[in-house]
Amino acid sequence: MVLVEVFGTGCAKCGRMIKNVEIAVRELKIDAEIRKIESLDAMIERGVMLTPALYVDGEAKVVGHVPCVEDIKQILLGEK
Amino acid sequence: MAEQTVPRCACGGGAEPEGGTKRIIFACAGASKAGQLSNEAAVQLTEEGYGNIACTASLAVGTPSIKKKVETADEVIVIDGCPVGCACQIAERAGITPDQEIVVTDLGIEKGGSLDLSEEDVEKVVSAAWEGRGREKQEQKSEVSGGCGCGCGTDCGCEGPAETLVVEWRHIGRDIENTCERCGETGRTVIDVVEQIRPILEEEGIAVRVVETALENEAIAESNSILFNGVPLEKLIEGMEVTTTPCASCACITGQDNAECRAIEYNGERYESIPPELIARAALKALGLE
Repeated sequence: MVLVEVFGTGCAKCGRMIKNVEIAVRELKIDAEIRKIESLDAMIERGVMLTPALYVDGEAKVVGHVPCVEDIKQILLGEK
Repeated sequence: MAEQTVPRCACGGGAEPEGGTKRIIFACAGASKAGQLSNEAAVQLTEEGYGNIACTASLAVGTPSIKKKVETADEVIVIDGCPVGCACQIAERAGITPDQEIVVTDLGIEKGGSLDLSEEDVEKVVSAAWEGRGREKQEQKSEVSGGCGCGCGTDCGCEGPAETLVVEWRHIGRDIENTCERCGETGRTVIDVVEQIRPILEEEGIAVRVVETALENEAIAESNSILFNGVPLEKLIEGMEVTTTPCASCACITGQDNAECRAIEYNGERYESIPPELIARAALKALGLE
């Protein structure tokens, strides 16, 4: 199972990131757990200083912007 | 400068963080529900920090400030209300290849209807931009026009550029929602037929686009006409004659009590709006495929 974490404080861009991740996971039909992390303490602990941020299996993949669905698919497939 | 100790959000003010993607958004803002949705979506995308809305009319007349904005943008997003693609055509005439082209009616939203826009419809368009759905349309186009230009998408070494079919629909009234009944029906049929034949023609390396020409009321004699690469429909199909018949909605638009609008006669039948089979046949004839 792939662990996908989206760090964000609940603003518009974070919402868009979550939505795009959900679409990408659904379209790829992969087994993934999507976690939405809004706690500032958790972000600081993980070293996230700019949101929205996308981590896959603990590794930072995107920070500070919303990737499109196709980009997220490539990230999840390990092509990016 | 004090060291940042808490996470910072990249939202707000349309500004991407340093090194982020600078996007410029052109909406057709046409006089229909779909056109107005394109504009509303562009406004919301700007508010959400996706990019910055820019003036499509300004792009059409080539103001220096808009050219500068385009030059400094990383991505150009075009949102059109319908497949006529006016904003995209304006961008292409200005030498811009959009990174995303979103067509509102492709998202299952009808072009016409009340101008009271629903939040649900605006959200559909805004989401499509965030999701990058408009890239697919541009990629399809580049597959056809890429490479040597023959339409195969590779450098196959053939001679000559891909052929283009321009279907021009002429009418009085400012747009498809505000022209006479038969002209409007003809216009909708032109758009439907072009969408149906587009994939077939693109396989042959032929690009196709629709151009809508709004005529002054004085040019009513040319209203309800279709040209294929500049050749009128009636010149392409043997035995077709042009006539005129009384038109109540033309009378309303022009203020002439006895206004008449174009119709065609073919094989003993009179057609006030042009049927799809004749439009498709004329398109093939114009390309020498029939």
